[in-house]
Amino acid sequence: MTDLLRAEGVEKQFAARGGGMFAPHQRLMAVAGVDLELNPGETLGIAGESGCGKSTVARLLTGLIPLSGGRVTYQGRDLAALSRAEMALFRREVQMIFQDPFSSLNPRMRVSEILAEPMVIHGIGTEAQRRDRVDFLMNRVGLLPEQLSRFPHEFSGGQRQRIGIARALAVSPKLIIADEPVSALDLSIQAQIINLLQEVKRELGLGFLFITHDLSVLRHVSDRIAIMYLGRIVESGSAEEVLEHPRHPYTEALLAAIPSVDPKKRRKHAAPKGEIPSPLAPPSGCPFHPRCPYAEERCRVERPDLVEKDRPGHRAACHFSEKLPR
Amino acid sequence: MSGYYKDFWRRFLNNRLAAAGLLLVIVLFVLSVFAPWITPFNPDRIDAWHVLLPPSGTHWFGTDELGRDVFTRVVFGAQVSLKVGFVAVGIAVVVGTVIGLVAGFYGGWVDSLLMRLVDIMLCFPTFFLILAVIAMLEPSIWYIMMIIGLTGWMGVARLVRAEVLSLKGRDFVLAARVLGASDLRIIFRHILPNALSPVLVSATLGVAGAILTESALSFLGIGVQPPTPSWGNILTAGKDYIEFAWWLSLFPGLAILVTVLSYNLVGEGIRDALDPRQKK
Repeated sequence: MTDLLRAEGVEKQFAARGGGMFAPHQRLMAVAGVDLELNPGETLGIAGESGCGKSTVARLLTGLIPLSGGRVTYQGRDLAALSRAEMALFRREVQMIFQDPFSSLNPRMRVSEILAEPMVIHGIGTEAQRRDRVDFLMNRVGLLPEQLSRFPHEFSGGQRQRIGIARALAVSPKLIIADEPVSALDLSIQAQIINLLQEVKRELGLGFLFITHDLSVLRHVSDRIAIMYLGRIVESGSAEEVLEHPRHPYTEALLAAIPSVDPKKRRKHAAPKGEIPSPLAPPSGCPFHPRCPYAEERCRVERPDLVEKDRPGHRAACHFSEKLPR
Repeated sequence: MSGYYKDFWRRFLNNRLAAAGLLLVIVLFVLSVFAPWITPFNPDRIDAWHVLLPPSGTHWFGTDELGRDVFTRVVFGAQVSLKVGFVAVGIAVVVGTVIGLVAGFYGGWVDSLLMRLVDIMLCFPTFFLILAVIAMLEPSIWYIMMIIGLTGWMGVARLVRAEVLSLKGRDFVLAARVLGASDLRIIFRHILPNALSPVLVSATLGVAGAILTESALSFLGIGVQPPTPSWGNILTAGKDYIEFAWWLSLFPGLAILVTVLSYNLVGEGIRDALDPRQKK
């Protein structure tokens, strides 16, 4: 089976302005060599703290910003080498859902226009067919076709996110990249939106890339999980493996940060200490060592590679994975 | 009508000064459009028997040195002023918006080049530039409109550029990109409609400025040429008789004052109504 989307050694550098007007520009390594693959119909969750490069990865995978290194392939073809027509097809088959439902919809367009626009851009259907499709989409995401003539500000956050989902579904994509799709919503609304995403994913057999800082959300939606730290993937594997038997201390710390209702389960793992280091001056060796409870001298000098640990397909970038409780 | 515009109107009309300004603007508009039906006199008809008459029931604003009815000339002058105001500002808005959109959207050296052009244009003392250019051309109302417009777009360009820069990174613009929308579609469907509110304010204030500039040019004799009436050239004629015929200067002067004031009030009213945060 050929993969839908694959990233190989993807890098992104930003130029950060130095202190003064004439200070040299510093280089900020937002994404420092990420390998990912996503198979058709599969959900890959990417998790990590704010600033770890998750959203940059999303923008790189959709070709919104140029790569500084590595390559992204869609159905085996390099994104950078796509012809105009192939690019148009990629733009049709890969859609995005955004974090902030208050900024992801054009405030000057009616919902009917927002939902019809993807089809207009790709020249799909007649006007009447598009109108039918828009009605169908509204129903599908749990909104009323009567609300089509309204403007985005007349909806609540959860409803706006439903509109964003409907827009992504309008052109029947094969892959949806959701960048923190529920982080801006109330907890009760989060569950509804996640259920909706799960339903449409199953109905349409979509590939899903789900980016979040909230591991408890990923537990429900992902087949596989990749954990990012300072622009690198530090652990990846099946959702169950990664969440039940983390092989990287950072994953363990993230899991410990999830509030639990079961007092026996609390404080089993070490809570994360300190703040994420500045990506302008990443630590030497293993980027996690200043915050790691297991760190030894070796971690300060040698950066661990992402290698398979005791289960097939479960990889972690840690010298001392065996120290973590199984 | 959606709630957005309803709110805007409610806030605008709750501002008494802005509402009064809008009323005056509408009255001026009606007067100038229906000028020939509003007054029984011809603005150009010379009447040697009724020279320099003070205001009366027949001649509300009196008559001038050639016996023409001053009220009629002020009303016809409003036509000229409004035409100059709107056309000049129209030119400034179109030029400024296009330059601001291109500079903000494409960035890089295109942006640097266009913004330095703005800086250079802003260095000229506009009024003297206009004087110099008019001196080389024949004075005509069309040249005046064009020159006022072509020297007044820089503020609009800066406003639009700033709006574009902030809109460019918004998620709905990224969403349009992910959907494969063309640059033109993104600029005209997604960015421009969201960048226009500050332009509306600037344009309304600009109308007042353009009317003032036209009056000043006509007053100096290089704007609208007599016998076509304009507030500026009525004032010029009036200054020779100001000691014994005050009405010749007072009424066109008041017309300029009221018009400029009302456009400024409307402009500020729109600005306040567009930004509810400023309201207490």
